[in-house]
Amino acid sequence: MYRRSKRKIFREMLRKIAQIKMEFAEEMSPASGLSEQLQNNLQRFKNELHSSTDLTIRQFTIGFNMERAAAIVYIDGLVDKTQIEWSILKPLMAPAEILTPLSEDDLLPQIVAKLILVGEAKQQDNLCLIIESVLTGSTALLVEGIAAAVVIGTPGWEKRSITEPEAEVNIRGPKEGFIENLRSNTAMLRRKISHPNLTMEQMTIGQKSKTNICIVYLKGVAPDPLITEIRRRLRKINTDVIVGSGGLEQLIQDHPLSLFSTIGHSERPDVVAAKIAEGRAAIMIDGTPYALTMPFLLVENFQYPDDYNFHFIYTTLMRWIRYSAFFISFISPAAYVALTTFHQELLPTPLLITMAAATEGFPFPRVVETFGMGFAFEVIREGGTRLPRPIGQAISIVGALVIGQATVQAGIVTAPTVIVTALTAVTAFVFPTLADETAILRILLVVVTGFLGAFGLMMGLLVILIHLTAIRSFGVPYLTPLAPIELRGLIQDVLIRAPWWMMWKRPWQIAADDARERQQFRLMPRPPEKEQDETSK
Amino acid sequence: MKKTLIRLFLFITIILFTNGCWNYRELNQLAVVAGTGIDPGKKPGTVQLTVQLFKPGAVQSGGGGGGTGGGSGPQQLPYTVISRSGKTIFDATRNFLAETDRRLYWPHNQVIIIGEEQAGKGVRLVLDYFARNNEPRPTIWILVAEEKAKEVLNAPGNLEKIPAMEISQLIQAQPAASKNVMINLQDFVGRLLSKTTAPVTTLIKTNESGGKRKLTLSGTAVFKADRMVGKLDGRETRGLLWVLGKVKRGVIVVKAPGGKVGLEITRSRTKVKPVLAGGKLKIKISIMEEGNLDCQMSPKELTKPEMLKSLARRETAVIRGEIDAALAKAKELKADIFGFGDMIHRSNPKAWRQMKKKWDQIFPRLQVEMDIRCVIHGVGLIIPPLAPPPE
Repeated sequence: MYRRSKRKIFREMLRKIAQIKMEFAEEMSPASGLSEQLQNNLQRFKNELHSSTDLTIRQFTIGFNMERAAAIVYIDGLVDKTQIEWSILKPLMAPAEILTPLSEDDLLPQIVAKLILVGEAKQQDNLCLIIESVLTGSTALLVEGIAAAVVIGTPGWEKRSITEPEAEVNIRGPKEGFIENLRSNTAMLRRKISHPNLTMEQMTIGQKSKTNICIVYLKGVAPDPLITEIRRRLRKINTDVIVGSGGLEQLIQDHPLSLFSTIGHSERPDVVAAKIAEGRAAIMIDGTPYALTMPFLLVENFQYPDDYNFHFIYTTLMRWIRYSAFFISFISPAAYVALTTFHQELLPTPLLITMAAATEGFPFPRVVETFGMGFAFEVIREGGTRLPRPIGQAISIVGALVIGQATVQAGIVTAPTVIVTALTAVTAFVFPTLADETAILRILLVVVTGFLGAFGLMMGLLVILIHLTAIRSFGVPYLTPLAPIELRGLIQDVLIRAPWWMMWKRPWQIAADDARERQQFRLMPRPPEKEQDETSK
Repeated sequence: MKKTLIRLFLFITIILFTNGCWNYRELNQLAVVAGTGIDPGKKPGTVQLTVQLFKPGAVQSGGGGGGTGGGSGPQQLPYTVISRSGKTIFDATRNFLAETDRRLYWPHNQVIIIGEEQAGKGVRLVLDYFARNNEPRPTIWILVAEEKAKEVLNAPGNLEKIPAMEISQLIQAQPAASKNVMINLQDFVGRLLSKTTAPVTTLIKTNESGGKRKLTLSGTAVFKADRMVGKLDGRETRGLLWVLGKVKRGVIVVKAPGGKVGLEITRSRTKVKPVLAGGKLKIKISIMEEGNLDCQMSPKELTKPEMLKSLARRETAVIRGEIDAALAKAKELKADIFGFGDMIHRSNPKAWRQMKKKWDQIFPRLQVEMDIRCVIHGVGLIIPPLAPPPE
């Protein structure tokens, strides 16, 4: 009781501190009103931005006789300068008779209505909001004698052109990938699904970074509770800066401590569009080429965009190769340790002789060897990833040669251990999104097996299995359709990848209840019927 | 149902994978036993255990590519043979620690060879260890050596590097000829536990040929209770296999006009039925055999249907002769190697209760009725013989 109340009090205190901080922050923000004097306003701009050098103020005069002073304010580098010159400055600085007779109240609406040639322009009198827009690429127009400004949307900053994604390669699919610009990314999705129901809800997260994020889903197909839950989780985020998709992912994950990721990510518009079409939702974040998709299930780690381009039998074979590669990569080092140090009776006799011959005279126990080689492999992998590409390859070659060959020849590590480690490494390349999780668990399994043998291996696998069955992604069990067993899901996209004309239902538990059907039931191509024969005559 | 199946699957997985115990040992701490031999020790009441051990250091790893690494230096044998005596088998196994630094590791043991002398004294007590212990597998082949088991284990193999492996493969190759029995520990113990069925094992001996000693399978050893009482030769063994229904493949040579003909057995089915009619016991054996004409040493064309039928009749006679020979030998030894006693026990337990005690007197006078049918199906790729047609 005592403890509980103590914790309660502590929480209360924390909440109060946060509240005070927030209030304080608001106090610090500029008084919202603008003054009528232009110079005064410009000075306040400078003060608010601490005279940052990229703040650009251009003063000029407007009116038929150039009688009224005015200024535009923008951040250099965030705006399209040509647009400012031709669509704002040129019409304003030309002698315009319509402005002179107007009263101060009518002036700004008339400027917006008749002179500004930019699509996005509106009057705003809150300095706080004006600064916010200027910081995201807008231009503010201030006029002497008026306590308001026109905020004109002139964003135009440098962005990367659309290129082929490097991390997710495919052969027959589209070659475009997301870029760091939110608008371009949402446009790519729109081009894939141009239905009015493709809904994009925008939000701004991060008090300082003001990152724009966008929840994208197909209304009517994505279940409403899912969208409500995503909104709720995003609204709860109260942080200063959101940097990347990974950071956001960690803030909204179902099981923050679990090794397994319950939110997917992709930099391919086709993948994200396909997931949205199945009834999932995506979160696009400005400034990162990765979109988050949810709910995300274990089986999705084995589904690649090319699966749906190739023949379904071939794809099914590939799926099974991936599954077996996963298991080999996952348990082969531990199974190797178990077989060579505890259960030699499980080895076929000729294999036992070969293995015994290969291990004769080597100094370290098999567990230490396997553990060490696994460690060395992770080091090489990390080195290869972080270093610039040309050096990275050199590292891999040196690592492979030195560790693979020299250690065996020098009689330090046995050849079977090197083979098992290499097998583990090669098979891990088949499922890149799960590679990190398996790397950790593999090492843990080797350790447990080193103590307990196959019993330890089984216990370890059971613990992992139980954990996998326990976690959920946005309400959907992570092992669906394997663990709450669902036959259609299994034969449609897991055990076999059915041909497109068979996948006439969306995945169960993902799509909304009344949007299960994806397409017409009989879509299998057939030869033309008889009536068509008659027309051909 | 689905749930039960999943549970069952889980249970089986767990049982399969968790029966190990806390016994960490590296591969290079084991003395892996390839073959075992049992002989009586020098002192009365002791046994001498001979083991053939793998010598991993001498096995060249990477067979084909060994050209660069190995080759130099004298070839070491990839196995070693050691003998030790003890009061019991288990005692002897631990006595080995006096000369090996590694503990004997039994799961990969291929064969148990019992010396003829020990076989004559009884095998029940020496096999107990192998049946009781969890390390030796119940599928080890059991053989009786026509000499000392130690001698057999010391003989080098013909084709394989490790003689014990060769013996094991030799036995597994037997069904192609069906002239030797294949008996593993489990079968042997099963027969040993029966009150009437006589255990049998394969016989092995070493032959001196060309200055080299070679291993040869040489028939079947017949036990009465747990003592070896006699031997069957190849023909008698085939007769035994016919009755047991274990002839799967093999060659039957029959006489034909103009020369001999080799007939291949491709399939056979045996039914044995004890019949008790009017107080008289009769064993009915019916055999259905199918085969091909595989080679003919006669210049005459034998592939005509009538001729094939007559060949099949001769084949029947050969099979009958083989069974008769086996029966005669078994009756002479008073050893029920066919398991007729157990068959009667199963089919007519009441009658068996009276027969049980007198079985040793009943068996030698047992009446056996045979119904053998042979069919020859194919004659191969050519029809006339490879000889000039008679003018």
